[in-house]
Amino acid sequence: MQQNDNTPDERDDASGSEQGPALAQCPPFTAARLQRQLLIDQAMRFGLVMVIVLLLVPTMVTALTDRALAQPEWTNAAMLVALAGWLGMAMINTGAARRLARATLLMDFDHERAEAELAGALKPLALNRTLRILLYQRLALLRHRQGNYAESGAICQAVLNQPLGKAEHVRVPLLLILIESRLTEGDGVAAYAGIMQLRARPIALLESLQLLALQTRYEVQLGYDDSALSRIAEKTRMAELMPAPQCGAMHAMLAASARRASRAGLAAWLRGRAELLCSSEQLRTIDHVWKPVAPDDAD
Amino acid sequence: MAWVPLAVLAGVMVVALSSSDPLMQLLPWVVLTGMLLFMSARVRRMRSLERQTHRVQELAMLRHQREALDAGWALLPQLTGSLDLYARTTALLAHLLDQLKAYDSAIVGYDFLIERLPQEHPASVQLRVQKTIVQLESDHLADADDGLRKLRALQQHPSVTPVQAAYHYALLLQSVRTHHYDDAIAMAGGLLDNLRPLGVDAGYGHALLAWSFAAHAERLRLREAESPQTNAGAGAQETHSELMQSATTWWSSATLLLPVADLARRHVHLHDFSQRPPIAAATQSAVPPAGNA
Repeated sequence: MQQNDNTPDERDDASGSEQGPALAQCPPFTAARLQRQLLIDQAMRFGLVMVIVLLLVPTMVTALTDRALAQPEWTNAAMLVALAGWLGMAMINTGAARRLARATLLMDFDHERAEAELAGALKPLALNRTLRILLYQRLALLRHRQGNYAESGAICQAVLNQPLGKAEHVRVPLLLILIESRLTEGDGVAAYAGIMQLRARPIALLESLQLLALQTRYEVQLGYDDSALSRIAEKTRMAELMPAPQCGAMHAMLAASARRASRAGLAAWLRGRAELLCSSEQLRTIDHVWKPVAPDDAD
Repeated sequence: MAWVPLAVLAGVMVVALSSSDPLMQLLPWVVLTGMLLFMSARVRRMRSLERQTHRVQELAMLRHQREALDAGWALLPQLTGSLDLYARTTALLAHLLDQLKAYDSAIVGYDFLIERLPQEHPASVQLRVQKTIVQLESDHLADADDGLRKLRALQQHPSVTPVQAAYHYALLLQSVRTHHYDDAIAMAGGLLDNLRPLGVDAGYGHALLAWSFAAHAERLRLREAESPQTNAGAGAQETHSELMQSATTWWSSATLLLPVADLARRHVHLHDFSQRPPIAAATQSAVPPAGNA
């Protein structure tokens, strides 16, 4: 994400004057803002529930004991206001959930509109905690796809530091994004910690394929060739379940590792398959991006 | 329909506020609690169905076709409440039936979905390509030809997606099924790139092309044997060996991606083909070599 001294709204105004309606942007992420937002969400919801309970107590006592408690005249009006507040919050959450769904659909082909949807959804106070965590998970994914690995990693780390509650199912996707961000930034230690956390959890097949790709990338990048080439038949069989580019990339990485480990036959076999699965352009990118680094650099 | 619970709640609130009975004033809260309980039970049930659908998809991915088919078939009646899950599972069942060579049943499954989707919907295009491949496999060649004509727009896309790759595979399969080996050979130039998004399954296409080169070479040889005067002997011999050379090259890449057993399971004629002298020598291993050599 580009750093800018203007606030997001000011940026919107500046860009909007030149070409069409401006699309909202999410401000640069800070862990403190996330914490503040979660706190405000919780406080507002708790406050509203408490008001409703306090207003209900006299009615309940009257209904259950036949002993009429003194109630101020404004109780009914206050109850209506509280209910309206509750319904308002429900509507805000419904709107944010719809924006979340739209952002998810847009994420593959229109990053700017996806970000605008997320920015709009994250703005209101008193969002449901699970919903806010889901929105931040999508924002991390968006930043990742935009190539802003520092921010995507920061979002994942900050969200993972919070109790996830009902959004526990996003822990694995967040860890996967975090590991890839850290690997891209050359932070092998943080990537390894993430890999270990994931390995300790039961995960679905698609996620285990992603983990396999990331772990292989970690091992090849850091020069742990023996680990990368262990159980090679099983790894290639699993790689075959991945989409062609990822499958080809796995083969290209493992070929580099086999070459370093002086296993020429295996290296030729893996490279031959990689050349069938990836275009020469993809292979050049893979060879360039995943240049191995010395383990000492990462430690 | 999403507004129905809110409308009910509003109605109950009006009744409650217009009554002075304290019990009536509690009514909106009782209704609200009931609605929340109902909705959370519904969400839990949907999540459970999603998990079960996911499990069937995983079985299919791991190529446990029979187990996936059984599980998917048992799950299908429970999915009628969710159109998305129902359609996904039906598409998966059709694909599994195709894999298990129950072609007619697979076509019924694909038709069921195709009829219910807009024609230009990406999922519909994908299903139509898959259906065409099944028609070709099951010798419904006229229907398949009709289907491929309607999908011709897929050829004009600049980048190759998995759906377009499947379309190119269907074109190749059509040429082989109709014995137009020269048409298949004419596709050889861009075939590697065009089939690449299929991953290791591109090996099926490579094998079909190898077969086409060999079959065309065999045709030339027979033609030359029948009327030796019409062809310049050395030139014909050269063409024959060039075609066989191409056949071995494509066979080599096919077997590097897929084991011969898998190729022969999908296309039975490839079993005998794999044992012919120049082809057998070009067979590679689809599993990594052991040792340090």
